[in-house]
Amino acid sequence: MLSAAEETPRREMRAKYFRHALDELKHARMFKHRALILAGEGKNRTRAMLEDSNFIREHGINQADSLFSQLGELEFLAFVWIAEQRGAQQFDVYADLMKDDADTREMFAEIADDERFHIAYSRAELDRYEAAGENAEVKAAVGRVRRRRFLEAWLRFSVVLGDFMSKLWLGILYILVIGPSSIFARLSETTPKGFVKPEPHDESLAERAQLQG
Amino acid sequence: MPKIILGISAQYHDSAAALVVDGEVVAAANEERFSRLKHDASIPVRAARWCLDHAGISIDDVDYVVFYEKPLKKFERLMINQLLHFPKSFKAFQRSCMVWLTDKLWVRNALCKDLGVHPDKLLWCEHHLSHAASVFYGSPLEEAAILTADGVGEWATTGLWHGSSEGIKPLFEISFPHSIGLVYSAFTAFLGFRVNNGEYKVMGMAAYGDPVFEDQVRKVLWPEDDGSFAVDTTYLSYHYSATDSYTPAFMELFGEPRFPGSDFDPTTPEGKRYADIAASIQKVTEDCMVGLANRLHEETGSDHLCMAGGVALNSVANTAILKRTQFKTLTVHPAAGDAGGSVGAALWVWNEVLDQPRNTPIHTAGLGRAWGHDEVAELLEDLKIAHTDMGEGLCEAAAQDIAEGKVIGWMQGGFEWGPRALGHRSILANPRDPDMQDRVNEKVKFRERFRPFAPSVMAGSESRYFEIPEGSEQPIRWMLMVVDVLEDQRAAMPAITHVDGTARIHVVEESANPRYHQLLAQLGEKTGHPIVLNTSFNLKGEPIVHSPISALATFMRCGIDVLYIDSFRIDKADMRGLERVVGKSAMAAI
Amino acid sequence: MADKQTPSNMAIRMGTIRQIFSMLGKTRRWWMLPMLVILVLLGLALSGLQAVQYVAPFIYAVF
Repeated sequence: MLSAAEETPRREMRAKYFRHALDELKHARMFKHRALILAGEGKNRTRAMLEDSNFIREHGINQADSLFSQLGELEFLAFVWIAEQRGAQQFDVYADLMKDDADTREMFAEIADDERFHIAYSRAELDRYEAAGENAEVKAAVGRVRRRRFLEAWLRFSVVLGDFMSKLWLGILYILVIGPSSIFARLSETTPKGFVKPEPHDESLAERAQLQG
Repeated sequence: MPKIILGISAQYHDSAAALVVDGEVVAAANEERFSRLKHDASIPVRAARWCLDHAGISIDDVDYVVFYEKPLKKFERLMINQLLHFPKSFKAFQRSCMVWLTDKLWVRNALCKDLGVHPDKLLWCEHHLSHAASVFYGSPLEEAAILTADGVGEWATTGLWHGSSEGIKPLFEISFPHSIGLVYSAFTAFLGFRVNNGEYKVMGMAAYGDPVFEDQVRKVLWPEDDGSFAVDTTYLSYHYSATDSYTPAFMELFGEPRFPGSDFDPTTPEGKRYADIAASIQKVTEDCMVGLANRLHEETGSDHLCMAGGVALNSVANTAILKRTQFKTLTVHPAAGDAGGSVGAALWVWNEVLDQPRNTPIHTAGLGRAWGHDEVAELLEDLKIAHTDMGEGLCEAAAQDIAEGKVIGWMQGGFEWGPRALGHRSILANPRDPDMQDRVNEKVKFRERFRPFAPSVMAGSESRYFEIPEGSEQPIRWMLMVVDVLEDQRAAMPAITHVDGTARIHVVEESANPRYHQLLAQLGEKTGHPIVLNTSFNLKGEPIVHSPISALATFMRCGIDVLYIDSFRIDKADMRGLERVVGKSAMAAI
Repeated sequence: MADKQTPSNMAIRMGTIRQIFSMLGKTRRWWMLPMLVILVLLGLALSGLQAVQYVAPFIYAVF
């Protein structure tokens, strides 16, 4: 979201993206605070996970280009509109589940306010495109975003399956190939201790620089 | 035609890109500043792209792209190590092969694809040589002894070198698994901090303890008589485990590990035990580094010592080395960790592969991206943020705010190269305010209370407040040494004086950062003391801010009172609707 | 240099593979040869599957 605020060529959108970004950061902090309270005092895994500063990271696949620059403004707004609607629905469910916990319900209520703004401004921007005669483009962008959800779910499944199969094959490899090779390794390799003189090089410096090993 | 070399470090932690033109470092940046992912290890496409944009060139104009290590040698070491530890290395084998076989082994492909460079332009430097080159060729020294120490490169964990007009000559190395960096990281994990992130927290914790566990630590890591060191791997598991770095035998020596995220209170027996363990590993690390440095001095007879590699970020050990060896000066690369390898590799290509003469040494940390005055003005207008353009009165206004006890955010010029905030992306406050340490820790940084803050002091005034060891002129410019606060100053500057009476100081030369220097001068005129508390401009868990938008987003979410971006002053007191920004529950916290 | 055509992905990989085995020769660790051959082949297969992520599940179903 902050990237969108930085990259958008439409100056009037900067404040909206910036506010949206601050909302998301605020929500993350609210969730963390509430989770710490619910986790209770003392040593527990939830607290350790939340206190681990590296755990608080951006989500999504890190790619060299931001989502905004990959999708372009119109499709980005379609993405925001659809994602925020989905998010709002999920939070409604959570709020309902938390009916016995007043503080958590209040937190979800505050978040729901923000979500309404996010849905409203993104929809308003899509309406503006439509009013400018770009109905077909808006419809196509919304369609692409909806289809991408399924593609991404398929990709996630593919990655999980790939991880499992890779682990399986590597496990078999470890037993059948690494095991026997380890005998040779133990016979021929030494772990030098202390100072070791670096090995001399046969190649020239220029040749050495070309080598990855 | 100028010779243009792009240096890249990536794949482990803190990836970075650096652009060297005719032997001078013109741009350098950590990828995390752009991607906003702390310790981002991916190929630094954004950082590289910015470096090229900054120089007004494209990738086609680059003569060479050099990677900071030899990936195939690293793969060889990984495989052999896993063979030697069959079958304990099963999980580590699965995990590492998944990554190597799909990604790291094919880094040549990734560099060609992601950077758009022809494979014939790719060169490869050795890991420790990249470190050695970063500090030696980045300095004005014509001759020096060079010590590199980190977790591990390809095979070497430590390198002893001699730099001269004939290049950097290797003298000795120490091989994996004997590694000061990895042992220190094992203790970091034991003390409940994240590895490759929390090592400096162990340094901070050490000041609260005494090295009463030194004998036990010396069972794990110890200096040898010839200046080398050795490790007993029965206590450690980093060489075969995917998840753990120490064994049950380690716990028999040191007891139960500290639960991550739990409170640290050195006044309790448990807290004192952790602090004592931290102090003990710190002491033994210093002894090992001093031993290595002494051997280097014997071998080279040099007056000058250069250091790089992750262990060179241990500012307390750096002071011990200067005090306990015969070296007259110490030089440390400002980005001494893996990021610095990008600069080192590029400088190695220029100076040695191309055999070209030395060029301008690194004199400023502000090698990153800057934002122009008009860009910032337009942004503040668009975001409808109330602001005042202070113009020439910027430094005086900021000094006034600090003197009045305000905490200010300070974003000026290009962001810093390396992990330290050196007055380009800093949070500043009055170090003489007795409440300031708690206030900044709790309401601004939201971090552990035991962690001290560091001071920046105007060059020429440092001896008024600190005991400056001779030969430390360079590392104190990059905040890479810990020195004693003068006894009569400790009570007056509680916010930056650590519990053991030390401080990790930053001396600000006018040539390195003119605006920051001017701020300190102004503060000196107003209060009589040209010194500030300086901490990095970020919240816990986030990388240091890089752009005006990330600075604003951070400013609005914490207890900073005033933000200065370029000459613009933004006062939180003038902001409306802040409750909506931070949430009702968080308002009291800031 | 700017006019030189970039070799294909596979050609670049082949260059890396040549260097792996050349390094093996220099260090004379011939006993690693079978293991490295299998690992390199597996690496090529896994990287290839990564490139065709959308059809990978069907390939996994067979293999």
